[in-house]
Amino acid sequence: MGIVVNLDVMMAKRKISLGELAQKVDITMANLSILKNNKARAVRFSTLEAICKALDCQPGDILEYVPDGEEK
Amino acid sequence: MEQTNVQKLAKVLNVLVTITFAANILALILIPGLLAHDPYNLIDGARDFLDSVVYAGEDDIVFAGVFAVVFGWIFVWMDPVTFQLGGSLFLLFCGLCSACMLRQAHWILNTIQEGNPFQMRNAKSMNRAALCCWGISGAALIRFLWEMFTLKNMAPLFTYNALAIPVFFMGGLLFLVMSALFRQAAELQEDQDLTI
Repeated sequence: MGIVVNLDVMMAKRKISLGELAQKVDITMANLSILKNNKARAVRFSTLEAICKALDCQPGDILEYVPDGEEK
Repeated sequence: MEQTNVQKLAKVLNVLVTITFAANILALILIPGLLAHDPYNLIDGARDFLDSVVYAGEDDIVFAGVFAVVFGWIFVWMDPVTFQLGGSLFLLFCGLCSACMLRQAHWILNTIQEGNPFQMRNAKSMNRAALCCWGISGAALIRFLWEMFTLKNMAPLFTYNALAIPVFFMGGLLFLVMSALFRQAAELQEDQDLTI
């Protein structure tokens, strides 16, 4: 699986919508959707910092390493 | 949105490529008829053909040349020796290859005009153009070897046909390098697009 983005879990915990988060982080909903659906190739530190600030969490709460062959 | 200088240049080039493509298709249709006018020289054949259409002469048969073009397609198969079947096939093949190359150029220039040239499709277009170049080079090589075999002298070495062999071969290599560059650029662009 590799790196898994658990953005949807954190968004559910903080009860925040995709549009609202996109507005707070200042990125487009399309890009945030790519990130949420694990389609992104890379994440900028600046984006990660903004997401952590908006969701009041640590990078480890959003990103998780799952060894290959294991399903999340 | 204002166009960049590259986009403006691509627009001009695209118009020229489209005109050349139309001329190429027209020449393809005319090839057997033009060779029927002069089996040994396509340019002289074209001149004779235009003469027969524009200056009809005393017989006043204005459309004789036009009919010759149409019937050229039939005669070239009926009388292969007089109507230079080999020459016609060579020119038709080269004409098809160059038409294919011009089509690829048109697509690539379209993407440059749209401001998004680094795509995998362009890399594939470059690959196809490389194959067309090698097709022309190969056809010229076959013609060169055939002429050397039949004429049994060095005259074929000093023709445009002999020059076309290395020129189009190198052109093919250049297109292949360009294709690899475009593929690399497309991958970088994709990485950039998927970096959030």
